[in-house]
Amino acid sequence: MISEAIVTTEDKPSTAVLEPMLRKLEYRQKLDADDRAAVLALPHRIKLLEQHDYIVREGDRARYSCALLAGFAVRHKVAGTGKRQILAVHMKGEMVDLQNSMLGVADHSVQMLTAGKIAMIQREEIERIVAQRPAVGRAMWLDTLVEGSLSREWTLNVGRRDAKTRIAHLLCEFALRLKLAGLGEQTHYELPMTQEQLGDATGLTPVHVNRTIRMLEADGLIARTTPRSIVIGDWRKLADVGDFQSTYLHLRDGDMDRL
Amino acid sequence: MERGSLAAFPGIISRRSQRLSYLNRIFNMPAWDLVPAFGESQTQAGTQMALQRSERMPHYFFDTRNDDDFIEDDVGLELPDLKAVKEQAALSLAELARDVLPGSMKRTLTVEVRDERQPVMVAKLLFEAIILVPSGQ
Repeated sequence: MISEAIVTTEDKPSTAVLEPMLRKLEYRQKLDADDRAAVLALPHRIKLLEQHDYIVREGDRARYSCALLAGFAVRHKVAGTGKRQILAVHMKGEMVDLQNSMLGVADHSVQMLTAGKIAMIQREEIERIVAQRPAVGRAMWLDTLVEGSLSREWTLNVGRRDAKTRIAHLLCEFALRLKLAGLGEQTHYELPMTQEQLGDATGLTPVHVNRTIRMLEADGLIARTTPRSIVIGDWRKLADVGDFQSTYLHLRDGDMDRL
Repeated sequence: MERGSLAAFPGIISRRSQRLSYLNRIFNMPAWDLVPAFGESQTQAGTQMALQRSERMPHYFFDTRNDDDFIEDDVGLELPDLKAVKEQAALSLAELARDVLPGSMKRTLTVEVRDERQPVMVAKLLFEAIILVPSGQ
């Protein structure tokens, strides 16, 4: 459950607000005019979150599903030793809490990487729209399946790839996802993560992440014009080094062709 | 950036670190919650979640030598003490070893740690594989 203390509300639902979420749902599933209207009319509460605010904490009883309308969030779990593993990064339009709200008790935490805005939708409303609008239900189902696919790729990444490949792979994934979300270019984008957070996402120490990024730079695969800005010098080469094939992202054919 | 150029401008680094530790004092927040931005200074070793800091921690840079190949750390980490520095050096050496030793017969891996003023530690890993039978056997 979201602690009320950390939350600023803008308690005025308007229909255009859920547009990023609708766009995401429509990406893999055709929705008709009624489906689209039903999604935009979902009752919700808007909350503005600061950087590092939690959307949900492991162990909470989550009653809401949240659509990320602005900013970046991560899913993470913390080991008994206090070490954190980042399991996924989420960006604009993505539903960040279908799992935790539908399953009842949160099995991991979702935390903001940056300041942002979420729309909180009650679990009952999600269940209702899924029952009434099967295409919307299918869209959410597909979204969850693709998230599972990303998760499998990340398991492979941290389990069986060396550091250079892990980091290169992550940079390629972000490039495509940011581009599709309209937040960057395939060869030039702002990375919303610190090197320590990259370490948490790749199972590496911050020192080795730094070393690896310096090596990618020395090889001419990437450049950083400002601390957060990534420029990919040679997309093909970086994808090769990163053992990156976009299949697991399940992009639409048109988007695949443009890559 | 050339090696040593950071050391030539210690004021820049320490001002940045002071700003960070000021934030640390104000918010007293979990470790990476304080890290400002990709590529800027890191605030804490490892990924411990709820380490609380009330005082300024020194900023350390971990430069690496893979045989003669030198890689300078341009970000660094804030760490509480030399024990934590040694732990980071050891863990990061182990990660480097995992990446490069499978392709080596003989290798020296070194992490040279410096703070904002001077070198503070060298951690070294020596590897040599010796084949004891004639090749082809």
